[in-house]
Amino acid sequence: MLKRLCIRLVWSLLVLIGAAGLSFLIARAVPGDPARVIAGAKADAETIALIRTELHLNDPLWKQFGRYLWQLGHGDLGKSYVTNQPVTEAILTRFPATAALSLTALVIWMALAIPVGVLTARYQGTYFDRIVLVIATIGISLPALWVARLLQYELAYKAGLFPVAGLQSFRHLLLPALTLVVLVGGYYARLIHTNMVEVLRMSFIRTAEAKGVSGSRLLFVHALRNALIPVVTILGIDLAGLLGGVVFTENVFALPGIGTLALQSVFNLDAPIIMGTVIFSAFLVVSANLVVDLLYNFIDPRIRG
Amino acid sequence: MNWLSHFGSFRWLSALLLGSTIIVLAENKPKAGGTLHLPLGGDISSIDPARCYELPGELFVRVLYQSLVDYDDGVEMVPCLAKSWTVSADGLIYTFELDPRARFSNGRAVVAEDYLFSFDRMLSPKMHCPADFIYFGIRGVEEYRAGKSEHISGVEAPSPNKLVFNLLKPDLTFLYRIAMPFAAPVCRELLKEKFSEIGTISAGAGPYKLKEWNRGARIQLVRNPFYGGACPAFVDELDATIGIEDSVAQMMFERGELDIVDLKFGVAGAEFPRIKRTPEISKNLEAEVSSAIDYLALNTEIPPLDNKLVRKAFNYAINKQRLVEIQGGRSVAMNGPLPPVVPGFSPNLKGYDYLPEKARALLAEAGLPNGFTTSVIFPNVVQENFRMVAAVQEDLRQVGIILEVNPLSFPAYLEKSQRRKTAPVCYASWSEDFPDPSNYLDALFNGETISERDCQNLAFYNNPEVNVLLKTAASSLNVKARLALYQKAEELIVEDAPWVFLVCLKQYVLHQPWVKNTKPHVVWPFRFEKMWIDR
Repeated sequence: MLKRLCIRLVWSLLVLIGAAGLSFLIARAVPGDPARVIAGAKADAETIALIRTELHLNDPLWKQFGRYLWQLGHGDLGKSYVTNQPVTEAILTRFPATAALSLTALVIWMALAIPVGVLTARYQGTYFDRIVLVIATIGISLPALWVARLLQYELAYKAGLFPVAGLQSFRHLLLPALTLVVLVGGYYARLIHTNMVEVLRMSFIRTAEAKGVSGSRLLFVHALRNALIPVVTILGIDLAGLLGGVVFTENVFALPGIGTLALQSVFNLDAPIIMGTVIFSAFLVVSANLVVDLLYNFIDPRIRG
Repeated sequence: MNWLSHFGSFRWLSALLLGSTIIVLAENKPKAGGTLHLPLGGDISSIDPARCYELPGELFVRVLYQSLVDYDDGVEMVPCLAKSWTVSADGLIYTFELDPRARFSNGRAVVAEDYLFSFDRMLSPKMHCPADFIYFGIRGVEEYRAGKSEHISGVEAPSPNKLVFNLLKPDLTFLYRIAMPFAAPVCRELLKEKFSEIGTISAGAGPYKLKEWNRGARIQLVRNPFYGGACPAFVDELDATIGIEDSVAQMMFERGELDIVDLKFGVAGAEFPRIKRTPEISKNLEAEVSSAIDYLALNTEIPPLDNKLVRKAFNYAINKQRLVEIQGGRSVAMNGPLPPVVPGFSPNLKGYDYLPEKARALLAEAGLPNGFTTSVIFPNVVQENFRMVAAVQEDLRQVGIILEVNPLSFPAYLEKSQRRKTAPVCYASWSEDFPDPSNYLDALFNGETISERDCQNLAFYNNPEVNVLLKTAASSLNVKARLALYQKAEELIVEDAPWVFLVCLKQYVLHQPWVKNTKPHVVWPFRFEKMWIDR
């Protein structure tokens, strides 16, 4: 167990260094001068040259990357070129908005997906099952930007049911969360459905049925508990992905999360923030993978065996 | 009906008129209170007066950090934190008497020493002030920046209420430069370190102070309770939500979630036709010609654009009226580099009409009867640029010039456009720092400022005759003679055609009916301290 953990940790570290290296190279490969970004469009050549020297931008790339890794090793992600704000501080101040959005969406979509997934498995092949399948397929296929814009226009602007954008209260979170529910909810309903169908065919269900366990108890206790095991795995990794920034949804609804931070930094060629958000997202996904991998031993006794 | 009854109805009419006048006057009287809800497309890079050099960020910084003087409703200077000022006969010494009522947001009185501190801070190379070059005309700045002196010798404080600036050369634009937020006093005891970025501290003497800045989300300003200058504010609070796209801002505005819709040009281009068609929205739309211009810089160092005939062919080939139509009438076509709002603008300047036949003839004369292929770069952040460049591309194709189109991110665009012998053609924009021809002609056409990279003269245009005219005009104290020199320089520039002089944009303010006094100003399109709310 300990050996397995150590190997996983080493791999996780290598993935993070790889993500740092890749984001560093991409941020540097994009044309544009960071010194010019810091100085502003109208600044004179003297000021720009001074900034270039201070940031060691005239050094060879390998030297710059080495310096960056050294700082990273000491927990320093650097400062934003545009706002001069420490990257760690920028990420941490944006994280609550992303976390609030992701968790709100997750609660809503799971609250919908579980009963829908269970019932479509129970009534497999009926019209209800087919309609849900169509809705789920449409939801999965729709582009996030389009869904966000459509819901914003129809439900906020036209109907006035929600605020259009911004984040001043919990109400402001509902429409962005609904966007994620439309995009992801169907997928989870299908996932639960597939697992439920498989579980319902198992012999222990037949035994429980023979012992006279009631229909709803059979579905929501005996079958669902088993069907949710693979769902939890995927959910953990998906949540980590969301926490790393919901780029389009956050941007359309002007939510000050990691996604808008990442997008703005790309427009501004703000390399420290680009790298910081990439490393942060990678860290979340790697950690989630690690945690899920280890938790699996406890969740599913068959693996331990 | 007799005379008396006539007199009676006249009295009623008079009373009605008087009543209406009183109501109108009462409506025009500023009222204190309320909150102005505003949108910001992206976050403000900094609220440090020594660092912020971008719109709309400067709109907030200038009310946090007010300067000695400001503009009236036109381009005349009025006192703000100064009580009065005098200029020596040779134009080299500016002496300001400070307003003793002026207070920082912590309640301390502003004294002349604060300006010495603030200028030392702003002009130190450690601060990376993006606008430091605007103040290089002050005596002693060069020595200070080179580390040869501890303070700028040309800024003096003979008494707590007297501030003196000594200039190297006479400069009629000096008051404009002093009106910029860079020259505002900063409260030293509120700073953590002299040369560090201010961050989220409020250390100014403006009519507002910072309440909260949740970066990337929201910035809130409240009235400075100690404010004591001559330019106070009326609205209690400015509350700006950050990260709102143009179309989203328009929706929020129409749902009543915002009081003003856009802090750039006032309306989003894509929304403009609908706004114009909707009377209940357009009745609260105000417009003025602005100082912002769009132009096509033709690199005079790259063949065949080094040939004046080819550059003139570009000018004759492009239909500017069509560009104005593409922008939905939100601009006016230009004949030269100066917009109509800048002093010295020549309404009779002969520019280039749309004459494609003449363009073809000029290309043939230049030895290019079959045209040629070149490329244009432009920033991809502004959607409208794509349509403008496409129209230019189509016009040029008609005369045989094939224009390859390269949209770039803004940083990449700056890097390429400002590097020597790199980009043949750039679609570019410019807006003034202050209302003077030097801020266009000197900044964008002076051949003596050409550098290998980071050069603002995007056409890399160098005409020694123009350079001499610009140099002479810059230090002239005779207003009329000075403007005449700039007009002469402008004529020579137009004749040399280093640009295609495209359009001058209009500034709009779309506001809710309860927001008053929103007329756009030529330098600062939105002046929050002048507005008030009347619900």
